[in-house]
Amino acid sequence: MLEVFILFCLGLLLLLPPQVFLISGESQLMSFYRYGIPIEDENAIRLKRIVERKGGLLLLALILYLPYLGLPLFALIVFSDAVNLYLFPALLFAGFLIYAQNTGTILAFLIKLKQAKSTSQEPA
Amino acid sequence: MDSYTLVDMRVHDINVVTDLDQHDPNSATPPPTQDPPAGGEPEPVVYDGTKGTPKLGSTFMVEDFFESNSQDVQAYWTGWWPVLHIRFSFYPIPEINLILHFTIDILGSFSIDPETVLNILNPVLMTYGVKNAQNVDNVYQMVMRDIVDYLFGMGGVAWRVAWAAALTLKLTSLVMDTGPWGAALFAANTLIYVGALIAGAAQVVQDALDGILHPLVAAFILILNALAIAVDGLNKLYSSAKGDTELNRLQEAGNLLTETEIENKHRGVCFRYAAGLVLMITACGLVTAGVGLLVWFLAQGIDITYDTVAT
Repeated sequence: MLEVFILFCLGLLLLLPPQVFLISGESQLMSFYRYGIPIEDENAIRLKRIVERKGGLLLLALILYLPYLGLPLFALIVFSDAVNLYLFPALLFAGFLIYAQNTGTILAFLIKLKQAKSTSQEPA
Repeated sequence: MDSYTLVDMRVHDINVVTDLDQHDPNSATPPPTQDPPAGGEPEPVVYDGTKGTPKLGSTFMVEDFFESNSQDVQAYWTGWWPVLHIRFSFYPIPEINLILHFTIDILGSFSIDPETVLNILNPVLMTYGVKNAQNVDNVYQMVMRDIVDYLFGMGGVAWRVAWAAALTLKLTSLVMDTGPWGAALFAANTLIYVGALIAGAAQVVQDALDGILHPLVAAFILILNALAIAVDGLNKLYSSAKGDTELNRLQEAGNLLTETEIENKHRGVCFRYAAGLVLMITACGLVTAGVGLLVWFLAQGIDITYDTVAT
């Protein structure tokens, strides 16, 4: 039971850094695409570099999902005796919520990016 | 060219003296007493770089720790094909144990033995009266089965509504910046989310009090969901703060935004902040309810032991 709890907390902790990366960078990136305001934030610069390279969006999705790919592996190694019928549904369940959250974040980012690029205007 | 006359030197005698009382030339010994002389300044102390002498108690503790742990590491060979086993077992208190068991053969093939385990469950389960360690696995399965059964059964309807609302919140958060209707949609979504959470929590508490749901299961449902909601709340608070910074930045950059855009962005910042705050408060409420439920049961002296015999 406690293992499930620890894994769940770990999943939630892993959820934060990629989301913070995206949230902190995206607003500056959007105003760059829309109004041409120069980017200052380091995360935004990184995000721009990722978005503008070929296959960048795929890479972005991978960055957001990568920590969770390690989670089941971690569970298998550390709790090798405990990972069984009852832990896997819990992992899948927690995983489903976390993956769905991140899919929503990426979709929202893509829609914002498209909007910003389609309404781009020269800086005043 | 033979300018060196000394070609042979013999050492006849070397005298080595060990005197532990003498000063170590590499680190000066501090003066024997650090009490200041009568009416004068204290003697300056020359430090040798070490930070004082550890107390005898802590020295013993550390020594004991290393000594006992060094005894816990076992290395032995097995099999006709030589395989080296390294086994480390750590029992800081009887209820917690960590066993690391690695094997490596002469070709360097490394593997982790299935015995490897980090068992920190027993203290929790012992609290709930599981006396027999052999029943522990049954208890895990029962608790997990009960959580899954409840959340995906009739009792978990409100929770499922809450999760759905949590997922749509991402999308309504996007629509919010388009205008007042988007903001209204976001507010409605947040209200459904929080309302469903409260309804779900109330149902869980009621079911636990009615004896339909085991208190341990109820507490875990509340606390686990609270953690997920807290992440959502933090996310909203953070995006609100970022949105505010960005709005200021855009306004400083010049007259880029129309009045409507400024209004929409400002509304977005306020609504996100409010949603974040409400979600954080709800999360705190759920944790309090979960912990409170267990405390209430324990205070009432009600036995909340799992009946492991039933499985």
